[in-house]
Amino acid sequence: MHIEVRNLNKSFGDFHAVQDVSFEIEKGHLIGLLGPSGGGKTSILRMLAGLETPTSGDIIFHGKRVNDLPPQERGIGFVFQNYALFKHMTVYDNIAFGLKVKKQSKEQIRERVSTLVELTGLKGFEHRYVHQLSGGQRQRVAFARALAPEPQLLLLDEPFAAIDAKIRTELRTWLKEMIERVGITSIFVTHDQDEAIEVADEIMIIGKGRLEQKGTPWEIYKNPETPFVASFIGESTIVEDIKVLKGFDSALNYPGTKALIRPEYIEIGKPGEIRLQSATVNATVKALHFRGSEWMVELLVDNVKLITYRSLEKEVLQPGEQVSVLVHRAYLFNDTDSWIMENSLKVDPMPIHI
Amino acid sequence: MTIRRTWIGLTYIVFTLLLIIPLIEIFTGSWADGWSGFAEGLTRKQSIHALQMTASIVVVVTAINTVFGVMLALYLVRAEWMGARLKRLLNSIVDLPFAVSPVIGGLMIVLLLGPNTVIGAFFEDAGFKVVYALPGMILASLFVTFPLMVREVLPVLQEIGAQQEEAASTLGAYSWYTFWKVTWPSIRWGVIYGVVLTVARTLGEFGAVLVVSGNIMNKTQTATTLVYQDVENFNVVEANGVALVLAVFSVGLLLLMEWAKKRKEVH
Repeated sequence: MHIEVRNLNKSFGDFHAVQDVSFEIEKGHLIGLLGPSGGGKTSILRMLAGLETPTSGDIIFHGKRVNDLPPQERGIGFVFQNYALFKHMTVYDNIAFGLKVKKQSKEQIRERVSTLVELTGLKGFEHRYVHQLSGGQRQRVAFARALAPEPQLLLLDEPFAAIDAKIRTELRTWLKEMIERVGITSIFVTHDQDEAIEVADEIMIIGKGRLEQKGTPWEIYKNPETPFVASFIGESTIVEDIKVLKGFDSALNYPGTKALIRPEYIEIGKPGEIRLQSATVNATVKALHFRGSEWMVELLVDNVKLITYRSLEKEVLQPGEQVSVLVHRAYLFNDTDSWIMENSLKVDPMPIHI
Repeated sequence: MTIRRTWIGLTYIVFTLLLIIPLIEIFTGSWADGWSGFAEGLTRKQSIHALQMTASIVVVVTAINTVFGVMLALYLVRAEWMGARLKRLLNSIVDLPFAVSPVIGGLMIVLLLGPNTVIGAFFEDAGFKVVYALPGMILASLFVTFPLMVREVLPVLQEIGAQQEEAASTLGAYSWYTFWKVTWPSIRWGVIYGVVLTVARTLGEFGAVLVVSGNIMNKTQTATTLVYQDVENFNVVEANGVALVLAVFSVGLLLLMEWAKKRKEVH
């Protein structure tokens, strides 16, 4: 289903939960609504479902305005954060609910439910009650139940929040595959950037009720349009005083400019180890943290803290050690503008003299 | 150790004095003249009438209280069209009968709907007597029992939350279907508990009914007001007989209540 949202607003009393949000979603796409908790993501999702009424704005499915349609008639499937499974029903009856409402024949219902049970790998659990299932199984039931009446749009509210970390990654891949196989337009809400990046075709970043940016995960990572997006996606440290960074002097022409630096923008080495010596600054290793597959290194450059990662294969650094630091690029921003700048000293201006 | 034993012993003594001895007393009292005395006391015209009266009040009050209690609980928890302030106001009004003495409740009905009032006269002209008749007695019992159902169902509704109902709506189910298939299975043991409480309270109600009914023998007398009158007239055996019937019902309800409570906790 093709979805269009125009100037959507939602207020709860004085609280402006969703402000002027507009977007379009192509048929068959899997969209992640990403943002901090309380940012209005769930409100947007609930308005799309018809569970919440917009204060103003239009919601258009397939070129038809659906604002005044109740949830029953919107042709959507909704997976709730805590699944909201019917506790007094078996897995079979949960999945069959939407079909019974449509007064389908017993034969049809049995066929559809068994297809979904097969698809979601719940075979053998049809006659269990909800409290006899694990978290992952419950999520599968919720998913199957939402898909049973063949909706045009699938909405998922924090689908992985209630599942423990280890199974979560497994379920993510499973869900992405499943949605691709069914080919249904889907929107899911999450506050976990890894989840959004891994699962979604496109991400919409929502902060304080506004749509900050929409794009593929790679686009958003590469070209964040606002400081909020830049700081929300990926890891980063903000450097208030950019004078300490070498190679970004031209940014000093814009007063009030700050830099956002990601760990992967930084290269560190023992003195002399980095080839472009002229572009490096000296730093002290403040602390080292083992992160399973690499070291996280905290650096101090003139009292400004930077964070980067270092391979376990390289020589182990010690706290207090002096190192050379090369900042490859920085995301710079001030009150009016934001841009990405490569380190200007990396391209050596006078290579012949060296 | 000895202090604890003393307390436990004291509890048993109080329990026996307040509950067991009166029950035995009622039982032996009603059998003082043997089976014939007991049967005669219960088959008097006024006894049969009073028990029938009580039974019909119980049936009507329980039915009305169940339907409206569940409805009000649903509205107080779920309705979006009701403002938060209105909900709070209604929520506290529901508890009013707990705070007001039943006698005062009955008096309010007499003052509002009695034959000397505008509304009462209006109904009387239409051939519908409220006070000193069955409708008034039902009203009085309703007033006394109204909080019971709401207070049982409301917390259950709050606990289960609206999400299952919302899920049903996204699956295409409208409110009536959703209520019976999704909400009802979750609240039914609470409702049954509420019914038991309502029946028990209506059976035993005395003050409000006495004021409203005028206690006219064979016309507006209930089982409890008959017991009262029999005691006043020194018909001890008869009074004990009717009281025994009420007590047996109460014990039965108590057992039912325990059972319902257990089921309520399961879900």
